[in-house]
This record gives sequence, structure tokens and C-alpha cells, in this order.
Amino acid sequence: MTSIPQDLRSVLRQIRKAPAFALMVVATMALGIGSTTAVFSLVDTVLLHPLPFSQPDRLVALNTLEQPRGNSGEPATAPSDTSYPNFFDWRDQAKSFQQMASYQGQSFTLGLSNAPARRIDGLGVSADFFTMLRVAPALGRTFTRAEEQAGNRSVIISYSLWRDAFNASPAVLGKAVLLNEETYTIVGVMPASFQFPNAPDAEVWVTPSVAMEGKNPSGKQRGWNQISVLGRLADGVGIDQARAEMQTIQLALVKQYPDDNSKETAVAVVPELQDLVGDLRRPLRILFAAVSFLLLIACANVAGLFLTRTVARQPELALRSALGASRLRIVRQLMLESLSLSLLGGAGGVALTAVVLRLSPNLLPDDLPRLHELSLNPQVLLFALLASILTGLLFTAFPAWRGCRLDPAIGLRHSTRSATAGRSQHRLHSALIIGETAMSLVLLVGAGLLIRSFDKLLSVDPGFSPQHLLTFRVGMPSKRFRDDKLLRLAQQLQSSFSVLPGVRDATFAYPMPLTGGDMNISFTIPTHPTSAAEAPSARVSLVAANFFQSMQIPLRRGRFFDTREEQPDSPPAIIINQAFANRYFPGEDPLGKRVQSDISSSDQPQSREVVGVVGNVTRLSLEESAQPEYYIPFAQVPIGPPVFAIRVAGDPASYDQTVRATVVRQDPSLPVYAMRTNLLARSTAQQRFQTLLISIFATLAILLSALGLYAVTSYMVAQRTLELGLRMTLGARRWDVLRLVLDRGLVLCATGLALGLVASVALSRYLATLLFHTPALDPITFSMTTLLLLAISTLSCLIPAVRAARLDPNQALRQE
Amino acid sequence: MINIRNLARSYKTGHTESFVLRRIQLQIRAGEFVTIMGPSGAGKSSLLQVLAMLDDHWHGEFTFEDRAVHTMTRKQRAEVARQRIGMVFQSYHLLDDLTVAENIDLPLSYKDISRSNRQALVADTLDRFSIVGKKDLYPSQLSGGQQQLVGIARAVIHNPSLLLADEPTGNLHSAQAAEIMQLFRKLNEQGTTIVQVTHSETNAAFGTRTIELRDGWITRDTANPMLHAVQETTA
Repeated sequence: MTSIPQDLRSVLRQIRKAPAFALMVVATMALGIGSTTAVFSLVDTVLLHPLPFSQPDRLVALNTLEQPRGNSGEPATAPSDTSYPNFFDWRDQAKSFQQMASYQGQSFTLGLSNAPARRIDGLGVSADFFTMLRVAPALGRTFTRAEEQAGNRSVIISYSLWRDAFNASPAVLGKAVLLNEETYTIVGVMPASFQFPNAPDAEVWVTPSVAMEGKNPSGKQRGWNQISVLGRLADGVGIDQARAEMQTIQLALVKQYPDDNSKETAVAVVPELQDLVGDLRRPLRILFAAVSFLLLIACANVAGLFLTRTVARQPELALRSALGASRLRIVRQLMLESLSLSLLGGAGGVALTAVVLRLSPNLLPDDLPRLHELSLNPQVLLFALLASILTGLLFTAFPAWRGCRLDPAIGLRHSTRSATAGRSQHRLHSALIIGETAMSLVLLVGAGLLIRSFDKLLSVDPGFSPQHLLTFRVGMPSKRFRDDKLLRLAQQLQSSFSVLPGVRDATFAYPMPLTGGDMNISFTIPTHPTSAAEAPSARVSLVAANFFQSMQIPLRRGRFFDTREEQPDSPPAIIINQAFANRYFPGEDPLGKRVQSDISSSDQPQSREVVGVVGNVTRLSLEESAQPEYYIPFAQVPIGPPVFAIRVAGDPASYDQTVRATVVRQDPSLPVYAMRTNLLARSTAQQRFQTLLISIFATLAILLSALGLYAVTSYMVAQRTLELGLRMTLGARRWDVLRLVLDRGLVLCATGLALGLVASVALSRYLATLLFHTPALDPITFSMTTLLLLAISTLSCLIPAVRAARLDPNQALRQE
Repeated sequence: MINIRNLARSYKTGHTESFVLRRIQLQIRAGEFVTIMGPSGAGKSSLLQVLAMLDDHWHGEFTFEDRAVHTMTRKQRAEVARQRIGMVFQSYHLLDDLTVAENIDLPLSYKDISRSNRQALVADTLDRFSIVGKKDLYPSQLSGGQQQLVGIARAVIHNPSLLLADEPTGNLHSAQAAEIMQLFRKLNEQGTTIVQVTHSETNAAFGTRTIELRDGWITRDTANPMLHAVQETTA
């Protein structure tokens, strides 16, 4: 052990002696380890890291499984939210849970005396929410069940809001705060560390009391499925047991309330983490597999470099061996060298990860769960350390083995140019290149498929023109703006926006396509009567009269809404989309037919005349197929704060301040929020992220494997200088030499491509679920990526091949 | 066959120019067996490289079989060498990855000869050199003498008019060396012109003419006893 310092000094000397080699190894490993660690940190945060609550494995999510109404024939598998009445029944009847709590995302206009009104996120939660999560407030208390009742206005605020708006005053409890122009009393402050992963930006928590108020309160409608439910399993109760109990309870509720619960025939009970991560599990695993390939390619490259270097050092190692160095000592020295460089590479990788994590808010889709937890934590650092050590051992194993098996007599006698001595190195080098090429092709095919898929997604016609469109919301407190007042404000704002310089058109809708909102309301068609339980439902939008012209949605039959439908008391009208017409009026002319929607400003549903049929519009995602949808004039049912859309000349982003100033002129207390200039970007964010990341990995992989092929071919040329010179002496022309070198490189490359194609065929099916209208075995992608890699590999071999062809045979023979 | 006039070869090392061949005047007739001798650094191997047309950086006139090599391009010289010259090396220079038969076939593989003709020529050569039994062996499985035998077989398979040998027995013991030299004599008797470089007087005795080089000058030529006197006169 006393010789370790000596070996370490030798390592330093070797690095000084060949700084370019050391730099190349460190840079390659930094790239490989850095990329892998960055993706691992994402996988760790989203998939592996337990939820930040006590006994997180006992937390489960409860969703109803829906059987679509009517005779649509769709399967009953889509998990969905439930209603307050169902939740209260679950909470009262289920014995499998210590606590059960509901939550619902809400947004509020926060009014403070010392700052302009702003829009903040919040959650409406049932009383046991914090108890269930085992989180105690930093100040004050959590909610009581009594506070769930109508009329209550208690609020718990976040640590940041307490710090910023109330100067972290301990006397904040009992103080009033204005939310949606209503006075709420602060009863608690959550600790700084508390963030609920499903709503990490929430700044306030209120009870469902508001939902229990009014003439026909949503919180008392069993069909109003808008809340999410979490539960903490009771001690000794397994998830299957809880699922069975919930199934029994739900079936009883279906029997008890057949009109409202006929669709929700089952309850899905799944671990909360699984519910939170949802369908991200597969893309994240694929990303991790892709980046692992990149790391392996980097390792193969570095192994090739080490092998070359060990061969070059054979005389030195032979001398050491002849002077008495044991095999163990030689192996140890070689391992110390590679581990030192690998750890340096790992340090570089951690630095690269830190940079990537710093940039991650701009790179990652903002709907990725637990993004706020992403950090360079001890697990991530441990991963980087282990990756450095393992890769260091991996790429040094064979060179060290060769180094220790060297016969000192042979090592000292032969030059490194002996073709016989190099045969095993050739084989290993060849294996490394074949492996690198194969893995690069797998990555390239993956990237190619995602790019093709992304391209197809981008070419989807959303059914309206998203160009030069700016959408935004205006905070309209429901206390002040209901029914006619809400309609008047919306129409006044629309008029103000439409006369702004550069604005071509202004409209509004509730909800607006591709802005995240969706509303499904049941309806009946008098000419096709069904029971209440069997009534079909479809998407509905409440729109301004000029909505279709402004959004450039094509008219298929009949007419658009016009000035008649701007009045609340105009004859009830409805416009349906093509998918609605096809499904519910097959082979009929829907114009003039009546549809009775359950959405209404009065207590009773109104029968409406179909006045037009319009084209289909994608509402939530470009990937969705055309869904039946109907439109009702906003003026006839002004029940929700609409989203505004203005079509402008030039860049929509430049209208930000103009719009805000216009709203302030109308009413300074109304905040403008959720401003978006590119409706398609949000819908394609996740695909864009996956495609970008795998494309980056594939590009790096190609570069690394091209560099590897270049290095190995150059090394081969250098090793075979004598042979090439001899061949030229024996009559080989320059072309023969060029072909000889090129052939060897291309045979390796072709073998790698063949293996890569087989692997790609086997692995691409795992990508199938991420692809949009692109087959996993897309022949164009497979052929183009193979040709691309072949071209790049040929180029990598060509440079050393040309150098070989220019060899002076006389000089080459003198190197004997 | 070979006519060299005023040939000089030098290397630049920094600002100085070192001559390895100086004003070489040499005629070699077809059918001669010439031995080039001299101490290390005298220019023997350099002269052999020029004759093998592997070196282009010389000055002077060089005619080979009535063709002016000094006016040829690199490509033309390579073509002449490929067709008419064979080389034998001190270290044999067999390719380790190829069998004996494949090594012998190597010069033919760079000519436009059909595969069947090449196979026939290789079979003839293996038979001629009595190494048929070793055709599938690799060089590492042969003795030094056997390796050089293969080297010579490879050098003559395309029936060159000129065979150049650089210390062909330098790595062999005396019995093997004698066998190789007998083989050279036999080839010479069959019409091949041979130029060998050697330090060995014994090997030189197998030849018909000896040329001695010192410091880049031809200082002795058994075919031209008056050479020294002529040089002194011209000097």
C-alpha cells in the first residue's frame, strides 16, 4: 500500500505527458456521465423519489372509472374525477382509510392594499387534506369539517405568500385577505418546505364552501365530476382490500343514484405516485435507456483510447515488468490512471448536470410533475460517483488485463508495429466500433421516429387558424360579475380589444380550444329520446357570436352565430361540429333539428335549434381524434369567465402591454393572466421535449461513434504503416490502399449497422406509444437513418484512408 | 538493363543537406547478379530504393530497360516497378494475417489477373519452391529460412526481370543463408537479373559482380577495375 502515492505520482506524470489524451477521455466521460446524470436526476425526481410526506407509500389516489353514456361503444377505462356528494359518501362509508381528502385546482384574484391585484393559484381542499398528508402548519391550524359548509371563508396561505405579502408577521392569523373580491380569514400558514406535487404553485388553500352555495350549487350535484380524491390507507390494509371496499361502495352509489352515477361504475385505487406520474413512466424510461446508450458509446470510445494507449505503452510496461513489477501492481497503476480520469470526467459531468438543471425550467414541459423538486441532491451525486467508478473500471478492464499479461521479453523485443501482437487489439477495437455503431443507430432510429412523429403532429390541422393569435384570461370575480354583468363585461372588453391598432379581430369563449379547459355536458335530442341515465354527453363551448369567423373555423352547413345571438333573450340556438353531426344525426340533415343541452342559465334545460354545422377543432391536444362538440352563444349561457382571443397583425407577444392597459382602463382591479402566443406549443411541449432530448443524444452518439471510428481507423493505419508500405512496394496502387483501409472501416460499420437495425426493430416497439401517426417500423426512418450513419461513418474512415493512400512506401519501410 | 548517370540523393536536416548518394554512374546488364557492399550508412539501401523506384527524391538520369525513369511520373514509376521488379527484404515482411499462399498471391492481387490464373500461378510457385505443404500455414508457424523462402517466392511470382534483395540473409543462420543464396543463383541462371545488398563476403561470392559504396560514392566495381583511376582523373 505504501506504493500507492508513487502510483498516483505516476498517474499525474502520465496526464502531464499526454494532456490531449487525458482531455479527450475527461471530455468524453463528462459528456456521457453528465447527460446520464441529468436524465437520472429527472427520473429520480419524477419516478423514484418518494413523495415528500410521511409514509408516502400509504397514500393512494381514487378515481372513478367511467362508462361513457349513450351507445357510443367506448370502453369503461378512462379514470376521472368525482363529485363532492360521491366523495362525502366515500369518506363516510370507507373503513380502509385513515383519512380521505379531496382537492380541486382553483385560481384566485388576490387583492392586497399595497399591491395591484394579481392572479394566483390555489386549491379547494376538504378538511382532512393536511392531516392526511401528515403536514402541520407553520402557524395556526388546518381546516375543520365545519368549515366545509356554505358561508365559510377560511384560508390557509403558503409560506412565500406570508413572507412576501405579510412580511412574515406572526400576527397574520385572523387577518383578512381578499380573494376574488371576497374577504377570507387566514387561519394558518404552511411551512416553507410544503409543496403539494399535484399543484406545486398553489399559494392559498380554501375549503369547498363556495361550491356549496347558490341556487343549484355544484358541490351538491352528483354529476359534477370536478374533484380529485386522495386517501391514506389504514394500518394493515392493503391496496387490493381498499379497492374491493371502494368497488362495493361505488356499486351501491350507482344503484342509489342511477341518473347521475350510471357512468361511474368502478373506482380505481392506485398509489398516489403512480397516479401523479401517469403515462410519463414510459417516456422517462425510454429517455434513460437512450442516455445509457450514449454513456456506453462514450465508454466504448474511451476504452478504445485506453487500449491504443496501452499498446503504445507496451515497451514501458514490459520494462516495468522486467524490473520486477508484479501483475497486480501494473493492473493497479493502469486502473488508477483510468479511475482518476473517469472521476475527473464524473466531476465534469456533475458540472454539466448542474448547468442542465439550471436551464431545465426552460427546457422541460411545464406540465411535468414534481419539476420543482428537481435538484442536484445526494442521490444524484451518488449516481454520478458510481457511474464514474463503474465506467472507469469498465473501460480499463481489458487494457489492464492485456497490460498485466504482457510477456516482458516480447514487449521489449518487438516494436508496437508488430501485426501479430496487434491482432487481439484489432479484434477488441473492432468489437467496440461495431457496438458503438449499433447503439448509435438505435438512438438515431429512435430520434428519427420521434422527429417524424413530431413533424406529423405539427402538420395536424387544429381546425382553426392559430397564427397571429393572442389568448389570455381576465380575472372576473364571480361575486361582482355574474350572468348579465359577466356578459356585459366580456362584450365591453371584446369591443375595446377589437378597436386596438393592429387588432384584426377579438372574440371570447368558455372554454377556448387548446388553452387547457374542457367541459362535457349531457344533452338529449328530442327526435332520439333516451332515459336520463342514458343521455349522451359531448364537449360544449360557450362562444361569442363572432367566434367562428375570428378563429377561422370553417362553416360546413347553415350559418354562424350573428348579432342575433349577442342578446341574452335571443331564440336558443346551437351549432354542432361535423363529428357531432356524423354521430348523432347520421344520414340526416341536422339543420333545424332540436338539441336540449343540460347546460343552461336557468333551472331547466332549453331546447335549441341547430343553426349550423362547423368543422372539427382540436380542443385539448393535437393528438386527439375528432370529438363531437357543440357550441352555444355565450350571451345565452354566461356562466364562466371566458378566455379572450385577439388576432393581430405582426407578433402577438408585442400586444401584451396594450391588452393589459386596455383591461386596466376598463377596471384596474381585474388582472390579466395566462397570456399565450402559441397555442400549439403547449400541446406539443412534451413531444418537443422528448424529440429534442433524444435527438441531442443521437447527435452526440453519432459524433462519438464517428470520432471512435476515425480514431480506430487512424490507429489501424498507424499500426499498419509498414504493411501498407509493403503492399505498395508489392504493387498496390493508392486506390488499392484507400480501398483496403476504407473496406475494413466499412465492414465494421456495416456489421454495426446490421446489428443496430436488428436491435432497432426489437426496441422501436417500446417507442410505439410515444409516436403519432408513425409506425414503429417506419421504413423511411429506418432507411434514412441507416444511410445517414453509413455516410458519416464513411467520412470518418475516408480521412485516415486518404492519409494511408498518400503514404510514401519508402518512408513506411524505413519505419521497420 | 539499368543505366544510371550522375545520380545524387540527399536529405535535408535543418539547414544542412546530407548526401547519401553522390554522382552515381552505374550500368547493369540483363542477367547480371550484382552485389552492393559497404559499411553501414554508405548508401547501399538508398541505392536499392532508387532501383526499386520506391524513392523519387533523387537527381540525375536513370534508364530502366530503355525507359527514362527520370522523366516518369510517380504513377508511371510505380507501374513499371509493379510489372518488372521484385523485392526481397531482410525481415521478410510477410503479412502475419495471411497464409503462405495468400502472401505469395499478394503481388498478383494488384494486377489484372483472373482469380483462376492467379491460383494456377501460386500453385506453380509453391511447387517450384517446394513449399506446397506449407501453403496454409501462417508466417508465425515458419522458421526464418522458410519465411524468407516465401518472401522470395512472393518476389518472383510475377516473373520480374529485376530482383532486388536487401540483406536477404541478415536474419538467418549460415546454413539457411547458403540455401537462400543457392536459390538466388538458380533464379539468376534462369535469367533474372539480381541486385543484392549485403555485408557478407560469402553471399557476395554467389554474385557475378560486386560494387562497393562508401560515403555515397561508388568506390569499387569489379566490372570496372579502372573506376578508381577514372574518378581520380575526373576529380
